[in-house]
Amino acid sequence: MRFPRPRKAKAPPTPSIGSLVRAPLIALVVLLILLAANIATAYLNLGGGQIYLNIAFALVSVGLIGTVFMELRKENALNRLCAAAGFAWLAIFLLLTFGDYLSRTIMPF
Amino acid sequence: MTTSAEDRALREPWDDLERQRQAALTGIWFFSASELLFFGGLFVAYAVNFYLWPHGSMEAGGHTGLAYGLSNTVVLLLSSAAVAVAAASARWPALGRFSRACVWVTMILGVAFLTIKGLEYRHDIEERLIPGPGFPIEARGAQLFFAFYWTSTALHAVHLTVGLGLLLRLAIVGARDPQWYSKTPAVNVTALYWGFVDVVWTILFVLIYLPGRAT
Amino acid sequence: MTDATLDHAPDKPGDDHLGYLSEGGHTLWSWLTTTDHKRIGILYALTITVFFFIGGVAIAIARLELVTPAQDLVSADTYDRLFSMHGIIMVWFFLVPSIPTTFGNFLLPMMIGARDLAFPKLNLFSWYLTAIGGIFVFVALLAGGTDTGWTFYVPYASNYSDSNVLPALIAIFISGFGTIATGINFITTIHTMRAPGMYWFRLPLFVWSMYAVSLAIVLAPPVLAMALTAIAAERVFGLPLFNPADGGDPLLYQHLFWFYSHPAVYIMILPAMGVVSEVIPCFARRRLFGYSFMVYALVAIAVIGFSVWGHHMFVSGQSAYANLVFSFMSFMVAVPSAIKVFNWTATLYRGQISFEAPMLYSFGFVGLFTMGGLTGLFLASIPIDIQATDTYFVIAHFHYIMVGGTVSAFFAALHFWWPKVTGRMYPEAVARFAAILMFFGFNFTFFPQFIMGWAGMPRRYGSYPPEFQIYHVLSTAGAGVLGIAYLMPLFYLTWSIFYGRRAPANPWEATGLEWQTPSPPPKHNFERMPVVDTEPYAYHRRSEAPEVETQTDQNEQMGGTP
Repeated sequence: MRFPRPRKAKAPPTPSIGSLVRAPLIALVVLLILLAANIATAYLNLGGGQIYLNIAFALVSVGLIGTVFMELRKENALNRLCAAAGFAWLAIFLLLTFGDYLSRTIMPF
Repeated sequence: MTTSAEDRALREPWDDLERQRQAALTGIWFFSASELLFFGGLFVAYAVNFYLWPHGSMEAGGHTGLAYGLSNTVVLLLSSAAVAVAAASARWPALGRFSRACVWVTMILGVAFLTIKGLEYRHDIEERLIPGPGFPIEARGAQLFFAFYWTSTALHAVHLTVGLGLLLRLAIVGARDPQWYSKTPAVNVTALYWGFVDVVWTILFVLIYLPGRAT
Repeated sequence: MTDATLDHAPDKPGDDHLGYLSEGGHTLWSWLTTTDHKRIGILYALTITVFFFIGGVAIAIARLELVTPAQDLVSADTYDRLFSMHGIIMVWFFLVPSIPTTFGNFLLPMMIGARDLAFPKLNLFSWYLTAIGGIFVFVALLAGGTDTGWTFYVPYASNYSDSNVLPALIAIFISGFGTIATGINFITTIHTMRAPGMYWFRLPLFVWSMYAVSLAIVLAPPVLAMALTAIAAERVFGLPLFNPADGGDPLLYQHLFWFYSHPAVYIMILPAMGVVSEVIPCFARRRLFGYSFMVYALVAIAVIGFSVWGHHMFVSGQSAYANLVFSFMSFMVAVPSAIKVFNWTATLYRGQISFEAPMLYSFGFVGLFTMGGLTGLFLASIPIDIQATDTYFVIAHFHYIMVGGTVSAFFAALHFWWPKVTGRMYPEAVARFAAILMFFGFNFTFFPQFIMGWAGMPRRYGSYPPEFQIYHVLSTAGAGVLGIAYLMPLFYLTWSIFYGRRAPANPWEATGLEWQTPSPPPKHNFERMPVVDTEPYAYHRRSEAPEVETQTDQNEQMGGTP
């Protein structure tokens, strides 16, 4: 017995190239703007916390790549969970490792 | 009733193409999570070394070739957009040739990335930015920074090359069998892999090229 | 469960009793190019058996050296290489693959009612990655092994060791990706290929244990891959990531290494727990006690297990606050394990317990795992760990779990599912003897190690002060007994393949979809897709004791109504 297949709807009409290109193109423009802004802020002298700002820009870009280019918006819950799991586990790793480094007493030498 | 194109795209043990596609996407997303942790190990190492030696790291960051890095980032973003369009258009047979053209554009941009990287490597070697004797920057932590630079960019380039291989297979087999190309999950899987390569580069760009610009 | 959809009644004369063993081809090539999950499970089983015995020989030589206090049988350098290769081979080429790639591969699709895994070709590729990794292990062995310990601590492994570190790193790296692919395969399969009616909370616990272990398998090994790549980068290209001379922190390597290697030990134990959860209900004829808590416990162990890695680094220079956090989380992770031990024990209550070999091994598992787990709690307590770290106490602790636990469960699984895999019954009396011998041999080997470890015997030393000799002699003698107990199944199981009694489809009258197929199963597992409509472990109706079939009750004996 084959597993019952879902009844196929009538095939939707072929979309225009323009409609397919629109979302990636907008995302691309936004990403390039973010990139420019990121580099510009890198030249401001913000001291030690500088890199966090740059990383923040990068994470927004990553989010955009994930949701638009990698179509995470259209995916089912399981796949979104897989993507989230990768970041969550990396966060656990960073958090607990830095828990060690930030609480060490460094003896002067 | 499956068409023969679906039969060619359908693999054991699947009965239904849509379920196979969903499973393939789950597989590649989970694989991306694991690969994120692979590079994540390097990110943690970078973060720790940056924390221990902020001055050395920033001085080292100022020596990286921002022009090369920026060009590569733009190239890779364009290629990501191209492969995303390729994947979105692949499922319609009428847009098959357009989709495969986008795959070729992605490949060309990928090769451009590797070329720019090669030029950058040559530049870095000329400047002796290889950890070891003769390293030009005195500050502690600078050699660690460049160890991270060489390791992470080399690993990223390897992943990108694998991606080029996947794209080439899509383009060639897709041209021979356009019906298979419109049904197979392989297009989505390859596009997602390429997107992941772009995600890693986006993070690497910030870690390598942006520290130490302000001085 | 639909009543036995036996499409192929066994013992019919003229039947081909070989199922998947002959369907799909008889040639070596057909086996090497198979995508049948059952055949791939057997390929893995053969591979890990080879490595089990090689790793065993390595430590046998080391244990012979330890009989005398002086370094007289082998040099200190050789001794380092022996225990290092023992650890590397046993961890990555026996324990980590053991149950998931053999029994997981073989049983997972059958237990959920599927024809195969989600990605059969990826499954074969996984085996090839493991095999290629294995070839690099042979390269490392033939070149003389590595002396860094299985932990490859820097800066020794990256800058100072002149042994064959690189082949060992490559071996682990390559086989690690095989394991990751298996994990992806399992998770996708469980999510997308369950038969109709096989809801999440009807899954056998073995399937849940495969799910939990796959979570760990996909998310932890990549970090190890990076840690090992970093060592290789330092050795081969001189790129310093941890080198103290350039300001690097060797403890950073330990963070990277143990972020993987602690979840790795859960990778090694979770499948064993799954096996025991299948065997105990069957031979006690009881529903598993607390099914849903067993499920939560498995997932909790897998997840919490990612936050305890620093307990391997209490004395390495971690901050006191980090020590505190990791110690606390290590206590937390013991709770779900304890829940499982209680539930296995509670499952026995009012059961009709029989002592077949799988049950003996499972009892051994529960007792030895408990001892190993409790001593783990000792080690999670920082003041005790400072005393016990790098001593034989730690070695005894993890061997109680890995060997007393996982290897016992592996043998339980081997005997429990042997009829299904091969279509033959093993000789029960000999198997029971081997199980009991293994239990005694194991304790003789490792219990003295707790005592001498606490007394101060350090690990990784081939020579030692004479007051420890008695313990080492006991331990080595026990290891000899243990070795015999491991060799016995090799012989009688092989014997049973040719001369064993033919097995029916369900020799143990166990629940589970895999028992609804013939022994051995046909290539596609099920002729018709099963539809599931009962709970798991339905050995008796809820709230009723199992029907007593063998005893005649008193009334009946006196002639009254039953």
